[in-house]
Amino acid sequence: MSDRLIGRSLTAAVLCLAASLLSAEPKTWQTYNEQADALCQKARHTGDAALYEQADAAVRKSLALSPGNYETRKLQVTVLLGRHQFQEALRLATELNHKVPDDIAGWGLLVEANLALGNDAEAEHDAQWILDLRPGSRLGFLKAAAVRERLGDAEGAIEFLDEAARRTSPNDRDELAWLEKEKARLRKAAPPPASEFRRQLRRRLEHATTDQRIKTYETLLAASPDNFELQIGLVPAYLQKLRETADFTYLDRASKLVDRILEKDGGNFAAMRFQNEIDLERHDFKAVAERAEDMAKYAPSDQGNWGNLGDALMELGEYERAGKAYTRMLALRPNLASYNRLAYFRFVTGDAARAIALMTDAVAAGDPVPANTAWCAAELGDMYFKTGKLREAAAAYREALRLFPALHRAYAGLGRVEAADGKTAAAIRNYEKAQSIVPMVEYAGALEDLYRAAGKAQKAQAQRELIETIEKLGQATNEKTNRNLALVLANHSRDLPVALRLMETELPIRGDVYTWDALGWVLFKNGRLAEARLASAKATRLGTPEPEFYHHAREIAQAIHD
Amino acid sequence: MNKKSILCVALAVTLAVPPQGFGASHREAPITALDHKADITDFYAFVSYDDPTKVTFLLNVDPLLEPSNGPTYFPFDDNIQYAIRIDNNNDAVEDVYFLFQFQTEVRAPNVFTAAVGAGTGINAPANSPAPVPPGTPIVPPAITALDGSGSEGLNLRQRFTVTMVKNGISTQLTNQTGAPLFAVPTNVGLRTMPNYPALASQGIYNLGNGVRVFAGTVDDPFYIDLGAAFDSLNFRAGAGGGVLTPAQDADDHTNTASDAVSGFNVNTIAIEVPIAMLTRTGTLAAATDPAATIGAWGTTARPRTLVRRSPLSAASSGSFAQVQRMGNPLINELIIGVGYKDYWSMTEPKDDSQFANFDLDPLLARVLNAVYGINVPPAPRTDLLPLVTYAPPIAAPGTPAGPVADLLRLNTGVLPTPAVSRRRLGLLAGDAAGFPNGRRVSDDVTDIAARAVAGVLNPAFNVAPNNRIGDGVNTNDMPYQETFPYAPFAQSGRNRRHTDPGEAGCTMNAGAPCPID
Repeated sequence: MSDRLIGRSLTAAVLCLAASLLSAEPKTWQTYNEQADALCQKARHTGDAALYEQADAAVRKSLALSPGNYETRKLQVTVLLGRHQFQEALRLATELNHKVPDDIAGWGLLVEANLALGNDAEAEHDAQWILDLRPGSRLGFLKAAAVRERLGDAEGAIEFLDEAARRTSPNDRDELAWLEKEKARLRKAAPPPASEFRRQLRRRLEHATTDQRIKTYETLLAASPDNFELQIGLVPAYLQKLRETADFTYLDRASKLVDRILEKDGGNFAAMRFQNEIDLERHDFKAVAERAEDMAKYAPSDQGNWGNLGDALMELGEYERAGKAYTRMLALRPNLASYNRLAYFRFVTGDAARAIALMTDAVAAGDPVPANTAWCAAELGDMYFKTGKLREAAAAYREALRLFPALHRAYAGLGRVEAADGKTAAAIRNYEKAQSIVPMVEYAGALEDLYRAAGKAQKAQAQRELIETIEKLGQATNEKTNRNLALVLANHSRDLPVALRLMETELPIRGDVYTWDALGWVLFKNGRLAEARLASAKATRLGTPEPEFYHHAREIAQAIHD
Repeated sequence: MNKKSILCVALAVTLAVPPQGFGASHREAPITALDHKADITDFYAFVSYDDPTKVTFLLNVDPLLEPSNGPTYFPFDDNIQYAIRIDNNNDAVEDVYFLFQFQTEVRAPNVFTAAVGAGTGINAPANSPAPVPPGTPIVPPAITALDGSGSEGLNLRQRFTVTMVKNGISTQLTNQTGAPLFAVPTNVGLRTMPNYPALASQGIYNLGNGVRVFAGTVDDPFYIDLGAAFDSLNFRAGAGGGVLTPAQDADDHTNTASDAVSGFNVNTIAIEVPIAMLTRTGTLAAATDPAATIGAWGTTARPRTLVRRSPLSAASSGSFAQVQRMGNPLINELIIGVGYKDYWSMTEPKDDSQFANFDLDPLLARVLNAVYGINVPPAPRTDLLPLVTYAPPIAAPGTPAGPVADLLRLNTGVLPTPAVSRRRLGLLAGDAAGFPNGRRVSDDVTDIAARAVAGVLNPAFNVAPNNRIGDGVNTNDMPYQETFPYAPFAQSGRNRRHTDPGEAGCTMNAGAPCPID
């Protein structure tokens, strides 16, 4: 490089060199490209948009000399982005990416165009490709930093800008200065001091109960209502509370918060994942399956998403696909979440032994939230109960209650064991305890039967009235499906047309073996024997070790025979 | 500079995409040219010769290991997740897979080499300078074991784990004896490892349920005149100039050109698995049964840096990003364009329909047509579909074809061909147990693949010279084993010999010089 260039910034030096080349020798498309590239860099460093017009002129001249030149067309995209012609930039960047998908610079242009257009999910997908294609590349860190900033993770963006800086030549003072400016801007925007804040928050929440977590987040959020991290932390706390109490007002709260996040950041992955969890609770299984499948394409390493996908597919009765989703989940991380899902899958598909082994693994793996480990212990109890191992079932239920004393289904499980053992009084006590925590309709159904068996007609009648109240509440709120209520009504041979209506609406939403069994039972009680047999056959086809399935099948077969 | 330069400029200008090579896969994609530890060189799958109820898979990685290249030699990469994946229901998605991960231990950090040893050991002599007194052990005994007594000189040693994932259940397969699994080091030389075959054999482990495993450095079983192939198909006149004579073609044991891979080692992961563990029926299946054919491929993956961090977590990395894959030895080398090779390497076989335009109109066919003037079938090359779908002659009639996907498809119902009848040209020579029905170590995939691309799977094009295209290298420099792990044990670092053009060794045992031109 000539002495005149010593001491100048690198960009200025390159601009100078490009200009001198253009004036000194026959013009080639390469020299026009160098000029255009230098102009775009300077525009980026200085913010002078007029430089993009000059770059555009150089690009046109380059294309005139070498039409369709791939490198020039990439520069063309950079110019389009600089001139805010984002749609055209995206169109051209996509075309170039299809031509040479190995070129990380092409992916980088896609990230920029997608971010500019608010396609955050696509931008994240494209940035991930750069990091995967060229691990540790400077470009990858730069583009990923831009995505992290868009996701509201300023601290994470700074981390990646630091990585990019480490990979920048110390001679490239303009670039290094620009990186410092970007980091300073992000530090100003981020909640100060982000990492300390996060550390303190984590310390506060380390042994917090669900209620304490909710209170902490709500208090902090009241002071900083737009803080994304607090919002995204509160949502799972609400969902956890829902799981613990079956109080659906928490689902609504979670849903409102997720709506707020997605309104600001439509491609926010964490929020989208929570939306799926919310929609699973609302039984919108088809929508969850479609969305989660799509999300898996650009975030294949997100364990939670595979779990949601598998959960939706299980409810839809698409067991093979569900099994594959759960397998991916386990391969990513063997933990309580993946073990217990695979256990459920194995159980439904007829392998009780493996199911029990996997659920045991789930309990052993444990979860920082005791209620979740307890839930798995109760599931294990159910599996033992259904395979005739009453003592093991009781032990599992007691373990569940030791971990989380308010787990209503564990009390119900103990009640079931005691009823099977002929200990009616003890069974009643446990079901009453379960009901006092959460008044599920199936507890009312069980108690009605137990009270009648114990000769307590009045109490049995009270449970029957409770079931009717639940039924009426459902009608008042326009509830279209309630599989558990339908089963209770069918078991007691009451309001059978209501039960049938509930199941006929359930089937299009849910195609799993439990729905087919409930439908078969309800059809049977409504006297539609042929249809009942078909539905029952669908329920039992996988050999799911649910004693009720086979009891129903036997009753139906007997009736047809008679 | 190694011998595998990538073609550029001249051929590129005339043909737009330079051919990258023939047969196996040595640095064929830009990403693996930079990351050779993750580079899969070859992938093999065949019914075991000594037990037809089992399949042997070999995943070879890290190309062209010069046997003398100490002091660290060729450890596997602890950060790579190596995998062998099997599809058994024709959807090109793995149903059973095996994961291998390595962990390096340095047993004597002050020693300057990975392996050292001699005789019964050498102590400091009488004139040992202070402060080391005479009689102090200096050189450990020769290495005769992977662990315990006789392994003292094995300074850099690697353990590995094998995990099988099937039906969602992840099971670690462990040594039946309870001892760790050790990777077999390269063959340093006679002084350090006086009985290398015995040492290497200790690296064959029984994992129970009929599964055996071996991981370590072996002689590279692949053979090719790489220099001629990459010199714009400048095959040697002495070897037929790219078209073998009938006599040359019929002789599976004579090389008329030098094997560029001769004298080099490679790292292998070999696993032998009962067929019943692989098929969707859980049993052996007859060759006429659609369930008999499985599709297999190997992958390497590294921990990835994630764009998105989990909420409130400081971690920014997790899970693995695939670096490379290989099923069929043909696809990324001969078919996929340069601008797509890394992208192809990182995608999954089930999504290969996006590359179908490469598969159905391979540029290499046009190169052969241009360079040799041979007639090749017109596009779309549906004759090549059996290589990328489940179809006869590999799969039984009636087998669901599945999506277009690069898998090595193996009909496990076809019994292994006895050694005396085994043909290097595999299925093309009527040897039903050979490539493209799976791939054995001795299959001449270079010649087979070139002929397939030239159109020989279409009877109208199964004529000379199409069906005699070849590089003149018909066999490996080292004899294969007839039992697991089938690849020859590693060549000696001290005494290895590469057979180059102009040097003796172009006929097995006869010592005639290999042609330069």
